[in-house]
Amino acid sequence: MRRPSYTAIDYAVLGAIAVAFGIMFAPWWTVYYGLKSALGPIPAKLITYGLWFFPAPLAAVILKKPLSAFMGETLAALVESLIPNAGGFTNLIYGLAQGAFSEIAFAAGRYKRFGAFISALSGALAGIPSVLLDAVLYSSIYPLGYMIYIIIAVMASGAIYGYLAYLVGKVVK
Amino acid sequence: MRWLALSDKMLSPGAGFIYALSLTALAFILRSEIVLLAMVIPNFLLSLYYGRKKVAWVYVLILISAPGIFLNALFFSNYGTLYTTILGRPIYSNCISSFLIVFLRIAVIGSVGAFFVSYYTPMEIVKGLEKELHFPKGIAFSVAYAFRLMPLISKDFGEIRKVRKQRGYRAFPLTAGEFMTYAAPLLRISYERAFWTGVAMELRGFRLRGKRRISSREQARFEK
Repeated sequence: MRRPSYTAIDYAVLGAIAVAFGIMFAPWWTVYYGLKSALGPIPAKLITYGLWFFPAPLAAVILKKPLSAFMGETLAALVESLIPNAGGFTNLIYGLAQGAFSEIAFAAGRYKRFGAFISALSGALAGIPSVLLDAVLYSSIYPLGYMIYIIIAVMASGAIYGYLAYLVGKVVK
Repeated sequence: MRWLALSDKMLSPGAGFIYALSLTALAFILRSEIVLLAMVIPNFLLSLYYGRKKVAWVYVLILISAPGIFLNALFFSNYGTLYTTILGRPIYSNCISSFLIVFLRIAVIGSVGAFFVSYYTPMEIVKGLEKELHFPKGIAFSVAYAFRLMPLISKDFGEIRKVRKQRGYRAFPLTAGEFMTYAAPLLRISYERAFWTGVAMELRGFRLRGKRRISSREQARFEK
């Protein structure tokens, strides 16, 4: 693994990603709760959850450096925590875990592959800690069959948004 | 001198950050309604005292989530001794306790976060992260830069909305395509801005910047 050497440009880009998504995340809670009430938990998670994993692949696609996915996700979560919202500091805890899992995808590609597949995989992997933390915090433990549907929905959402992050990263850069 | 002090608050931003993070982590594991309630009340009152309108909608959102939490408890945790019946449906004790625990957990998390953001300004928090909690300077810079960008992004958003209105399009995005007409220019502008800010920072020796050390004698002289 190459030793990560971050310049001020990288930190500024991470800051820009953090603020853009920190701002989007805060009202996204309302969208999630609204959809959950109207459509139920599985469609709501499928439609909304992936956006919370978006900064990790986006930061990695733009910066192409080790730990960029982790830092992108964590910083966006930190900024979200500092904006008044119902999630408070859980955002930071979720962000740390999701960032670490997203990073696995890029580490598996030895930080040489930042393509569409790895980005989608990175988004999908971020779904795992998200479901686990939901189970601990919100007691979202359902019968096994239903739980499998939820994991599939969250990972599919992550993969879709991960792919979108790749496309957006290409456009931005 | 006032500018030398991190903050004139009773609880420094670093301590406040640890307090908020610890209580949030505790909310994950605690299962006692009384303890959770005892954690909610002071933070709720303090956040309203310091934040008022800034944090009021956090509590509205928490209340909105309550019916969903209750339905979840009703479908998946409705067992134990019979408590009452609603619309002919029996409600068992475990449904009530599950609902209360999850709702109070969310209330603890929301109220602690609301107190933290209403008590400190973003710049106090950033200074606290770097100087008290010894976060790497790059991370502190990213967070500070993110907060500096907020009004600029808001201004850019307003300009895009104005252009869309003038062209006869909807002001608020409803479809994915409309969303992209906002997201793409905002991200591109932010990226360009971040890139050139980074270049300027590097030219000013960002990488060589060390921790600022002030001797106690200098500190005393400044504070006179």
